[in-house]
Amino acid sequence: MIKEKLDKILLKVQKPSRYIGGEVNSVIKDKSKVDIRYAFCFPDTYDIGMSHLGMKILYSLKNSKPNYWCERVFMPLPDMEEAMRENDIPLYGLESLDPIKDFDFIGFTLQYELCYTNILSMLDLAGLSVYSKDRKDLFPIVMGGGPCVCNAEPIADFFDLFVLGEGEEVNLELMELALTFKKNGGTKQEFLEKAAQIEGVYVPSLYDVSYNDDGTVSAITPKCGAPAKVKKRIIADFDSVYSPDSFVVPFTQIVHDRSVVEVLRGCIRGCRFCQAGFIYRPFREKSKKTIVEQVKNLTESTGYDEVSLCSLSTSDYSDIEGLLCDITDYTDAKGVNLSLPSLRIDNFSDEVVKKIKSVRQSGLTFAPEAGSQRLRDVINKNITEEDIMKSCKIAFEGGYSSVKLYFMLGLPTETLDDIAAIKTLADKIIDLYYTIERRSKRGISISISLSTFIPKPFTPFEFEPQATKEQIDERQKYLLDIVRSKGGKRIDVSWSHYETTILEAVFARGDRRVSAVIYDAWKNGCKLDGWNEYFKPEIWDQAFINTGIDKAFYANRTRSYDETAPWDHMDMLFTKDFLISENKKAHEEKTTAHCREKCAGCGINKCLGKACFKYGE
Amino acid sequence: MENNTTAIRIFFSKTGRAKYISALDLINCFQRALRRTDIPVWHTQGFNPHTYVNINLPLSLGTEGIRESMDIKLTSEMSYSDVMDKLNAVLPPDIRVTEVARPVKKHTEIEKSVYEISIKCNMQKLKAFLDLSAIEVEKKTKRGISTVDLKPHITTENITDDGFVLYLPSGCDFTINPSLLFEAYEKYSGEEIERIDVVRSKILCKDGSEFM
Repeated sequence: MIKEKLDKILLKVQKPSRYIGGEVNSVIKDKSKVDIRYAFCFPDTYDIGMSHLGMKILYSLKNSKPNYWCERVFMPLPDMEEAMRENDIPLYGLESLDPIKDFDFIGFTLQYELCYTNILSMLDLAGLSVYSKDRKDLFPIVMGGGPCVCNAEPIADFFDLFVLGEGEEVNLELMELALTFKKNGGTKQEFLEKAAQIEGVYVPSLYDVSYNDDGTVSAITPKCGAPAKVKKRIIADFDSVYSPDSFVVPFTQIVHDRSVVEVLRGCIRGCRFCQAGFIYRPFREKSKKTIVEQVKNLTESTGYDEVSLCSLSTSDYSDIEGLLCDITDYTDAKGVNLSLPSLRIDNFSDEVVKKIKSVRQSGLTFAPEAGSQRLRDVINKNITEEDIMKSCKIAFEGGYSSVKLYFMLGLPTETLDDIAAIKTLADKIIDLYYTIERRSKRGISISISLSTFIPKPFTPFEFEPQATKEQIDERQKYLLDIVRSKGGKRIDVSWSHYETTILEAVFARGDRRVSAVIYDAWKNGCKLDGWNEYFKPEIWDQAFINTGIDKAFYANRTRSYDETAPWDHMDMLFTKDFLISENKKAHEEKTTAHCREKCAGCGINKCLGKACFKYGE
Repeated sequence: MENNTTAIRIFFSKTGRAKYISALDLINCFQRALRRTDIPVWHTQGFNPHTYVNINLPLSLGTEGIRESMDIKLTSEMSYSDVMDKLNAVLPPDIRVTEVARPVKKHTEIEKSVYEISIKCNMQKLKAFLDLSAIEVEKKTKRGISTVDLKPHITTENITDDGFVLYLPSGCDFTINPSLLFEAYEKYSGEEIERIDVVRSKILCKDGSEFM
């Protein structure tokens, strides 16, 4: 049925192979032998979603149970969506090509705020009501997981439940619960009340939110026995956590077309702007043996000729040199490329640097985030100018001639002096290049990429205002003027659009009332907001007017330490007091040592029942 | 360095969902499949070595094929049946190796493709269309768009109520994609074809024999 209809339209859309499944390692099961069917939805296109490691892990995990069948679902591009609507093709799973509205679970992974309208599009395309309250049947249960769940309030009305933290265990617990309801019967309300008792499950309809006269949240009150605080789930024994032996290998080229092995979770650095650095705590590593084995298994089952190591900061792996030696022993023999995104090379021995050089690398990238050391101290970004110069020297001697630098504009306490320091740093790198005798014959090129700082929940900067458009425009212009006045030919500057940045800021720290804007904008045609070519700022502006919601209230306002945050009923296992003390230290321009050097006292160690690291040995 | 390598020809079918794999993606798919096996396959030499795979006659997107072929080179001995079994164990379900053999013909000898068409449309109109004295279409070539009369290049056989066999030129010199003909028909009839399946069943050489 759907297959026949697809045959009529697929040759009329771009890259049809991403809409038809049938890839190597995709899982096909006999429907009659399956108890629970799960539609794993990535609310962006196939090319992006298929690159995502979390989806691969949970897909394989669920399918490892014989009676569960998990399928993949992505956001179709407009040409496909239009063709589907014209031909009455509801959103379907790529494995069975069955409509997902008949599945038991529809699970979205929420990786970034700009995908929110895609969720509404996908629910609608599936033939479901977008609001949870309008979906009366128990199945399908619409759930969400991923980093955005730490403040899911702006989309809470669309979901039946969320999973907070790491999904490996809790996903299966939810599926088991659904199975008992299938056998014994029960209503959606009964299911949700039971689900709320599972640690890490957040059922938004079981919480009432009240507001103060000034618009801030007054109280968040649980009901029907839901916990006052939803505790994040973590996997304590990370080395033995489920990890897939195989990936679905797409036919068409995707963004990250390679195998990926996760080496560690969490981050020891504590950069104060970085949400991932806080919400994925505690820091846990896999053993070398496990990692090497996973590299081998994935290489052999996928046939990829490239493997990449994934983590927030691979350089912080305790024995990174040993690990790289063990992996390259295998990959060199196999003719497989090892790619190492965001790896700091300044502390490596020459031998390891040589090994890495034999690896195909696209270029040299640094994220100093701020131009001056003062501002880097404010944000606790522990990279110094000396570190950058040392790495550049190694790289230039190895033949590199281009450097990419990432900075943020609008950081707390930022002044124009900090902006000028960006140019000074670029100049120093250029000067260094021409002192290197063994440099490449090419001239050096530096590209500076500017993004706008977005304050995120569960970071020490969750209290900070986002800079206004006027402030960002002024700082961008200031930097462009000094770059163009001297040395402009070697330095290329690019920046992000403020219009999407402020949306992200509103969603990141929004409350439940923000859902009205998302609904209105989607109703009027917004989707794929993360794509420049599809983003429609004027419809968004109109949606804010229509719903009477003030962007600045959510994005550009300083929040006091004692204000009730919309996400205060989420427990990320570290304390708000820690965030407050980190915020104060930022304003005092004081840094905090990384976790391996000294415990910063965030409180996460309580969930482990021991210190995160062995200190003083 | 191609010393001590043996060329082998792999015949395969590409049907069902696999018909949406483009010619370029198909090469990638075979290279990855080969890397999932221990078949001793020859790699191109040089700065950026890759697994050598040559598709003898690309199949256009949306068309199924039951006698497609590609060539690889072995660097040491392996039986044809082993190569076939090992590949079938790792290929996607809708691509199946049907035979592995020594190459007989060169791909430059290819002249024609035979397509089995099953179609649901107004057959009266289709027959009238195929009987036209000229079927002029616009064809994209490397030098731009030119007008070609398809009529002298097409041969049809066994026209029934739900299909026919179609011969079209294919190969290095001149190729006509079957979709050109059906797009021309839709234009001629002013009607959309309700359903169509195109399966390439054979590839013929200049001497009239099947490509082996």
